[in-house]
Amino acid sequence: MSELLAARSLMALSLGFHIIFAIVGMILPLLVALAHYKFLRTGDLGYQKISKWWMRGLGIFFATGAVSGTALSFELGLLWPTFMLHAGPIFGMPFSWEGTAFFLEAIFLGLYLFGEKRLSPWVHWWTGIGVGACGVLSGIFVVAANAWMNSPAGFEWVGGKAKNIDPVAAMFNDAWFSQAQHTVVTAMLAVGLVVIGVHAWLWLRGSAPRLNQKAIILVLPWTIAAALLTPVSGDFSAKDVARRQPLKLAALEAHFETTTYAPLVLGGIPNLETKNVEYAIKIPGLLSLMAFNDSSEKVQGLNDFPRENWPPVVIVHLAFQVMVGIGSLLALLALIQLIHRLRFKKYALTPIALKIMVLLAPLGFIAVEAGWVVTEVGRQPWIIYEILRTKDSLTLMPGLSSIFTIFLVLYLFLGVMVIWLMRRQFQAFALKETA
Amino acid sequence: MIYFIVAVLTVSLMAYVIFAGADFGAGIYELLHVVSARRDRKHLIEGAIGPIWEANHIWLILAVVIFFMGFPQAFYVFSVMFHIPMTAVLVGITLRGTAFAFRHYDPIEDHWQKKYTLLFGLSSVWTAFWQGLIVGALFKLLPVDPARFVDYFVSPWLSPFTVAVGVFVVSIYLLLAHTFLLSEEATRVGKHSHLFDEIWRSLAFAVAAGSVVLLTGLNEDIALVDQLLTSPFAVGALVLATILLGPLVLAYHRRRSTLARALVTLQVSLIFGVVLVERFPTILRFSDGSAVNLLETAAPQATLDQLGYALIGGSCLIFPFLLFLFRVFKADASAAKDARDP
Repeated sequence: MSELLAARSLMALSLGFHIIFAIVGMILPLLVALAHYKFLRTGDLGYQKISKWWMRGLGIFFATGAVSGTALSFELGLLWPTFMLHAGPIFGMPFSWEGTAFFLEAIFLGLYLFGEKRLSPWVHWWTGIGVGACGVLSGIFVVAANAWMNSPAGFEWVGGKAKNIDPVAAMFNDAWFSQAQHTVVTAMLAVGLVVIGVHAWLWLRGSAPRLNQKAIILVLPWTIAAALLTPVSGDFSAKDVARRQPLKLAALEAHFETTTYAPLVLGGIPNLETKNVEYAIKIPGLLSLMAFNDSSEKVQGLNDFPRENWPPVVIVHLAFQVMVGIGSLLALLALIQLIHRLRFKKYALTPIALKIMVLLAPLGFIAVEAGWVVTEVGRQPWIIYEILRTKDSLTLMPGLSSIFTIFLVLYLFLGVMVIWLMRRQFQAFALKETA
Repeated sequence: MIYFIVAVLTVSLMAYVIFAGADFGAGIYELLHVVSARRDRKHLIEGAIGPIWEANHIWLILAVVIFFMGFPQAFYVFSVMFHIPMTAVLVGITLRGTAFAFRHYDPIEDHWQKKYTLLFGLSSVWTAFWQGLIVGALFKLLPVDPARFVDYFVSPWLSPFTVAVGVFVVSIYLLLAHTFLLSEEATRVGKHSHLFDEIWRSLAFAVAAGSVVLLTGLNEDIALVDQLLTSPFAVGALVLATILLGPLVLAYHRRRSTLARALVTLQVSLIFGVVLVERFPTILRFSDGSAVNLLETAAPQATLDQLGYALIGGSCLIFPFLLFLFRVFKADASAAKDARDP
């Protein structure tokens, strides 16, 4: 494994691992607060049980997210010191605000998890809202830093050095809003799906049907809303990419030739030699329409760009297909559930519906991971888009594949531990209910 | 503005050493008692650090953000040269944080509790030791040629002196934690706790480790050690830290846990503060005579201004809530005491 590939793999592994825990840490507190609110309003102890149960899960995920995030903040420098040398003073500002939000989140979490007996019920509830609000804010801030890598702003690049740095302009870069809104909406969807899936699974196994039903009905409206918003949010994001990073759009779609009435390519495997996408379904004009609201609009193809600037087309195209496919499927199913709710005044919670919910549980996270592959791999070979190449910012430290192996083992171990611990949570939950 | 930022950086590093250090020390303390597997130790430690432990560790994130945003040149050299020990620290931090959370949130209390405790303790020692190695390396004149792998990537942090600093950091963290736990224990079970009897061991360990640091430093001819011993301010502070051992011993003896806590915090701040102050503004020095000067290699003014505003704004938001957090949980401890001793 080359040093560059080892460093990129380690970065991908660390980000891919962290993002799971980070979005749970963003969204689950809000769900906990929702259940907690229902309890405080109705006095129904079932909601209290649900909120406490989710809280335990939150504790595990938050701690893992916090330490993997700490590791990540150092790894940026350890792996890409040249990048941080140039970028630190430009895009550090969102990090400083992210740090603030995260600090507050940790404080609120301490108050919420340990303060039940020490705070009045509603103050306690507000600290829970504080955890969620600060979590979402810190996510939005850190996405600003990533957006800056896609859409560098707030400096002039003169002779390999940044001049006239303006950190405010860097933070409010063009890509921030579109990336942040898509991150938040899809995080809501992914976390909602897992929570529903877990309760559907427990219900199917026969434990605590009423509690599980309550939990699912609580989270369904939220998840349906997120699922229906996701295509809108994704479309907004894709139009933004089309405008800012035409090469990235071409790679996402494996769109080789510049044409008007550009077709939307569904599925298929791009062949870089023949410059064709094999086994794909092509819908004429739809790409032009989706990217620029006009089916006659010209969409630039990969061939317009020098080959050395292409991202890995096959990976990016497949990841994009996975993301969009899952997003569309979930939106469709959410629509069916919504119609069912409106037509019959209740949600479809038959055994078959529950089984589908179990199957859907991991899809949101798979789509989120695929989405980050699209963003990050799609930006390659640049670490700062059209400014600094990833290979030019690599550390001088040799032997990175060993470091990659260490982290691979570490994260595998932690991943297995978290899954195993969650299983123990379910066992304890089942025992408590049957007792 | 730059002095303000350096001040915040100093404060956050100190806060990390004291608060997170005490957390690490709690892990080390538990490890020393893991054989006896006393459950009361676990509850003692969770009660002491549980609510605030996430907050304690964020000081490090704050410091790293200030570093790469405000002082990119120093961060660059640091990141390249200390890749190996930093990786070790990160692995340790990750294992430690997760072991603590896993132990706390595992709903089934069985033999796994002991395994989590073991992992928590071992990773606490591991992380503290590697942090010490890096601190020790910063005392030295650093190499300049990254082409020579061992000279550049290993030797700076691996010598008898850095190992001594590593052990010293472990001992300081342990002493901090042990002293902090005294107040918790005093409110919990009164002043007859065996924690008071054991404190002498932790104190002796720290003093011995500190002496070894001094000896190996003189022996290896470490630049900063010589510098510290010739600066009147540094000598004064170090002498004061040593003299304070007297009142500290007295405080332990009289079981004045709050006073002991204040004294230990002051001593650690003095020792650590001296190093930071003497290293300012030339934070890294190289064997060819060059150096990285924090003031000269800082980020442009626009960045420093924004960083400063963020730190001021952030502090205004964070401190009221942080105080509230400490108050809620400290007030509870004294309330429990009142309930017990009518």
